[in-house]
Amino acid sequence: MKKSLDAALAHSLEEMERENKNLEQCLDLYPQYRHELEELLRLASRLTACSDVQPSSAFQAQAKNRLQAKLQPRRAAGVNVRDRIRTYIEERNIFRSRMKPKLSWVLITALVLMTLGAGGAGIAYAADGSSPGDVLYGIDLKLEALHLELTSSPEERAALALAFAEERLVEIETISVSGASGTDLQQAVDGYNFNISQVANELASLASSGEESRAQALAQVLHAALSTHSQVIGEIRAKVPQSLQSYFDQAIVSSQVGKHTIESIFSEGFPEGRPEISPGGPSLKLPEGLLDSEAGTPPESAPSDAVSSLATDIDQRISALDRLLAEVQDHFTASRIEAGQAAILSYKHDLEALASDLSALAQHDEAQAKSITAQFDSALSIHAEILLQLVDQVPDESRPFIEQALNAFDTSRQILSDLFPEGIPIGPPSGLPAGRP
Amino acid sequence: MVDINPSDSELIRRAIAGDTDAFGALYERYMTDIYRYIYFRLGDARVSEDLTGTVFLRVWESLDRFQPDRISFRSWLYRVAHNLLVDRYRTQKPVDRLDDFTLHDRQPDPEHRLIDDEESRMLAKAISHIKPEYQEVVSLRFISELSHAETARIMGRSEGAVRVLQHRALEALRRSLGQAAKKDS
Repeated sequence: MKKSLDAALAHSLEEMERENKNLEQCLDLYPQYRHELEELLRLASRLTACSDVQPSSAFQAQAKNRLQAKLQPRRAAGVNVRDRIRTYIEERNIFRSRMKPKLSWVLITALVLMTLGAGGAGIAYAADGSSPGDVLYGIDLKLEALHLELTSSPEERAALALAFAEERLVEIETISVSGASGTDLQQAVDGYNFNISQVANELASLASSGEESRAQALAQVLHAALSTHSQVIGEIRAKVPQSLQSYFDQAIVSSQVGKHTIESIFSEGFPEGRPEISPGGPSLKLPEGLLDSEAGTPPESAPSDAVSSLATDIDQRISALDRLLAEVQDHFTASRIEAGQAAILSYKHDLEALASDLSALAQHDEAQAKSITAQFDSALSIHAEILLQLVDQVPDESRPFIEQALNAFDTSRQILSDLFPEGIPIGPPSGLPAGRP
Repeated sequence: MVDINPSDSELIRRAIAGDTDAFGALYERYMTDIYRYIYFRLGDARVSEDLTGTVFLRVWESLDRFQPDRISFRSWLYRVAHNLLVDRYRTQKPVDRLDDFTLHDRQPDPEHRLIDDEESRMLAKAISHIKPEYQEVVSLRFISELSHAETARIMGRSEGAVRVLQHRALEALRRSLGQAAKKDS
């Protein structure tokens, strides 16, 4: 019933727009919906009549010249991340004998899909090269995961994961210049972080299997590649609007953490010694416990620029947490339940990581940590209100997810209270019931 | 002979080659459409003018990545504007659109202008009270007068979803107008 009215309305509007039919003619097409359609079609006509709003004369007179004055020469075609990374790989002969061309893995996965009756070749080709926001992007990621599963050698898996991370970098650059939304950018950055964690996992697995010389050779290559990543991400970051820069900071932290992980694994025998270490690591989306080893523990006296870098990172991630909670709200408001549940779990994870990193920062720079903690606590007060509203608004099956976030929220507040029991005024936020455990 | 009305594709080709005059011509061609779309989402003339310029700057920076076989130039402009607004909603509180709702240069006849301004103001106020995705579909379908297919491409949804959404949006807007009328009376 409802669907038919949707269709009748859409058809009537198309008849008015394309065939210039009048209201009565359209209503005659659907006599059973005459009353409902009449109101909606009249309203649509009223809206269309508003479509002659224009910018001010002054703006129109000057706009073109003002815009042209701001136009910068576009960079030469071809000087992009993909080319930078390819040049880098070719110059250093990295993975030449191990990396299969992208085409081959697309074909392998296509064959698998066809075997499964999914008619994969077309899908695989179409999906490869898709970007966040594209319908086929999910398939692209699944094909990558499938290809990793089909690869037996740890070196090849690490190389593939690194190649996929570089695909994400290309997507990040493409999205940034094409004006796509922050959500798409966040998806690409999350993908990059995940791929880097896969790289670190493979290396850790190889190292723990006793293949030390193979692991060291791989570590050297990965470390150099991650240095290039940081540099490339930094270069793109400098070109994007300030509102997008925090996304790049997350990716930079991830590549630095990847390097840190490699250094941690080979702390005694790393071929190039230990370059600068960013202690921003524990927020990583890296395997749990990987940095908890003795070798991975941040040094007692971290360099001051590294501490400053961690402070900046935490600061930016608090803003990112705000955006993530806004995404959670958007998903549930739009009845995208699964996406909302996934987003709230990410929120919980990031919240816990932030509290943990603030603890780490406090060990090195108490004043800085105190200042950021005050800001964090203020943000959390607002978050608590939002989360408590969400508990009442979401469907029953989503409530446990919000509850998990609220529990993480309580734990985080406890960590902050323990850090600065006297100095930071951490009381129950205004929206939080006093009796909450 | 100079083509006095070159096609979009010709202007885009020249703009990609670095011709700022060609891009200026595209700007003049679509500036009002994009302004109107942004204006009915924000209700602030000055901010809408600034954002319109920003949309075109972003498009200029990524023009060599434009894929005409996948999306028309006009739809691409709306998509960039849509993404810009989404980012803006995420990072800033909405502007107080109702107090700042002013219209410009619409009808030469002051009496007609007054009546139409009042109608637009009332509709804009009602639009501001419905969900963002309803605002989006109302702006694209009825203010910008885009087809179901174009609206679907810009919103990243199927045409069927847009048909359902526009019905819900109009229903929500009708209720919003009804509530406003009750308050006024």
